[in-house]
Amino acid sequence: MRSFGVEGAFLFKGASLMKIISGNLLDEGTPVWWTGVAWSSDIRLAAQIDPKAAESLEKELAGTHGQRVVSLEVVPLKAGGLMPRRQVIRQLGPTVRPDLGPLFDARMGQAA
Amino acid sequence: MYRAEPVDIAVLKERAHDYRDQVERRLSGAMSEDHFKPLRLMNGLYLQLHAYMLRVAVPFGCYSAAQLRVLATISRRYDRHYAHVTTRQNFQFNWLKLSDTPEILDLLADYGLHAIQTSGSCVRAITVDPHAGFGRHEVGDPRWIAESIRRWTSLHPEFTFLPRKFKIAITGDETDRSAFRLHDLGIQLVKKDGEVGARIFAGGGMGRGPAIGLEVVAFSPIRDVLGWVEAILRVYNLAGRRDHLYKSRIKVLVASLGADAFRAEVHQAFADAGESRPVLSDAEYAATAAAFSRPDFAPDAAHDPAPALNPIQAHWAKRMAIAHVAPGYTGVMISLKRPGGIPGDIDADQMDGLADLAEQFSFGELRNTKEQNILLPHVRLRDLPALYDGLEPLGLTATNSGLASDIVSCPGMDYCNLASARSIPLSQVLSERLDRLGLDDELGPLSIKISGCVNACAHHHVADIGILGVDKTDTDYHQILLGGASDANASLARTISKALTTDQTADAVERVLRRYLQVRTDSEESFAACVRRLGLTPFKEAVDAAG
Amino acid sequence: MLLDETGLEAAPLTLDVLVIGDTTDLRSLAAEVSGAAAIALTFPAFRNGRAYSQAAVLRKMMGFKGLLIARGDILVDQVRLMREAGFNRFDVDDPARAAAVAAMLARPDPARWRQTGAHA
Repeated sequence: MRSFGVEGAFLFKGASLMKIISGNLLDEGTPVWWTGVAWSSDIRLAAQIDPKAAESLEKELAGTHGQRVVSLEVVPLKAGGLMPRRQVIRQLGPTVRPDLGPLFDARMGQAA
Repeated sequence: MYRAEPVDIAVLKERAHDYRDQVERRLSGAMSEDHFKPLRLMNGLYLQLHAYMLRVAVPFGCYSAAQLRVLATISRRYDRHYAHVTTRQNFQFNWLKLSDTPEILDLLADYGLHAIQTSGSCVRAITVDPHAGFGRHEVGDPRWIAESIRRWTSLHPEFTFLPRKFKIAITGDETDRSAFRLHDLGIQLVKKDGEVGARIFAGGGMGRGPAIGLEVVAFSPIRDVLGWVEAILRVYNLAGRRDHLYKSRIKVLVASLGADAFRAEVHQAFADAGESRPVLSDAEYAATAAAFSRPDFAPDAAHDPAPALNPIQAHWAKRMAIAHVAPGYTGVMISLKRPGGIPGDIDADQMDGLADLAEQFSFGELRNTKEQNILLPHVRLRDLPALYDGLEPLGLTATNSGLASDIVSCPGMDYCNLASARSIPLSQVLSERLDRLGLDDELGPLSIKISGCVNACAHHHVADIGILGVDKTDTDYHQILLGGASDANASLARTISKALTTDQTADAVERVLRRYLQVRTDSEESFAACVRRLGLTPFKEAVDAAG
Repeated sequence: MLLDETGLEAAPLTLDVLVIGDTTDLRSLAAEVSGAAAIALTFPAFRNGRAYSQAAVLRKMMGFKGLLIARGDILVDQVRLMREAGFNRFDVDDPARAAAVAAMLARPDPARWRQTGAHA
């Protein structure tokens, strides 16, 4: 059994040095990203944030949304706008058990 | 098996009740995250990459079939139908929701289980030699003193906010399987003039900046062990650094004071405590020992004929059986390391099946090992064929205990916030390759341990072949280290490669293994002995010889 | 606000209070300690647990019997353990936190596993 590769996933065009903000839902614990308007579990909607604004935005979000989203982190995009692997793994689930990722609940729901 | 008393359960139920209240206050917004986080950590609940992770404390790695079944139930009801055995003999669930955790802790409490102090800057779960209570060469059962220390250090008013986490390991055997020299505090039970006492080490560690501990007390009577633990903790609590996360373990304090000065401080603290020093009375120690019931071994087991094993079963038994002090009995290792599998993971059906087998064949007792395997401690030799037949449909007959393919791997970046690289894919490549090449038996005892970052949760510094994940261009890269050991020949592995990709690493490890086969004196010379004899050079050359 | 070990509000102190920092070696203050009726220890951050050991040394080894005051970042869920460690006064500025501390102190000590050796 082999894990799936994550290189080259989720390329943001022209987004070098920009940042995204990630967090976890307080209750579910699942990862979410700030879209600019709301939090989303779909990383493709993550807003690219100017590095100069990122830290203060994170603090602001921690204040206003701290009851819903915790463990906020400012995550730099990689050179070339690539999404860091850790974030991809958070989106897709463990590479060695893709069946445990976000599709798990849907499949379990179908089986039930 | 440890017999919990009503007061033990009462403590856990009260803790679970307090925790439920804390979670409710958090979810309602009455408590902030800053306030809540240390409280959830005190109950072993981490927030990781995918969800909440709960680390269930398995006292000394020992648990019952009934406890295993409740863990299987939890995995089905609240998690994703599996659990993970850790390198500190605990169980982890990786997919939990915060609002489910109070019920989980309540359910665990009903079975004498908990997650207290599996996180935070306190004394963590104590690990012991997995052969405790049945090893043939045991001087004393390490679980008795471990339980005494556990009770005394749990929720201790003075030692709940140490500079950093504090890990204790204990063995009762001359042959060490607990790595006690590589812990913040380590104890080896030894005999002196017919009396069993404790040899006490401190200042070791297998994480970031590994260190071999120093002997602080050559021989302590059992009654004084808590006094020494208190002295060491107090010196650490007062003098340990708190300004820098990576300089706060006791090993750093020992290095900065120097061994002699540190030893002197501990002895002074022990003396200063005077009348207030905790004393473990003979009566109390005996009562604790008595709480660990011994199974009713059948006296006529000694006269059992040799078990009727077919060739496959015989090979399995040869590799996985462990010498036992009771005639006619054996320990049996269950490896959770299949080729291409995930080290340490066990699914719910396997848990239930194994619980049934433990009940039938091992007096209901099981142990977790720090190699991420499970051990059945008390199997009657004549039951081995039936046990094998029970394990086979569960997929639990991997025959590689202590061999190269018995790979220890941390969860790595697939699960963990702290990781620099993934670990599991490399372990899959290596275990598949070793299976294909069929080299396990020829290589003999050999430990490969893969850590995903410098926190070294797979204890790669004390492996024959240790592998460290490094962060480089956001792809998995690994460095190979060689020559580690945690037993009486304790040594820290040293780096013999630059950063290599996963496939390059697997190829290099294979070349190292083949070089060992070439240069060893004979098949009796273990990998570890061969490295001690020849040094790193021949193996460094093998790594560099990419063709 | 000063709370006593049962969570009741205590009268402000009229005694001289010996204030000891968390990194101070108590062995250097033997004379001052023996003459003191009230000592305050500091928790610069709730995670900094040195003061628990300082309390243990003062109570158990130096025989201090006076008022032992906890100051600084007092974690509400920890105050009963502070009490067991020897503190009998809690100095809490924030009224909301003081109320929570008082409520917690009104509860009995946490249940313990069978006692091995002695904590007190």
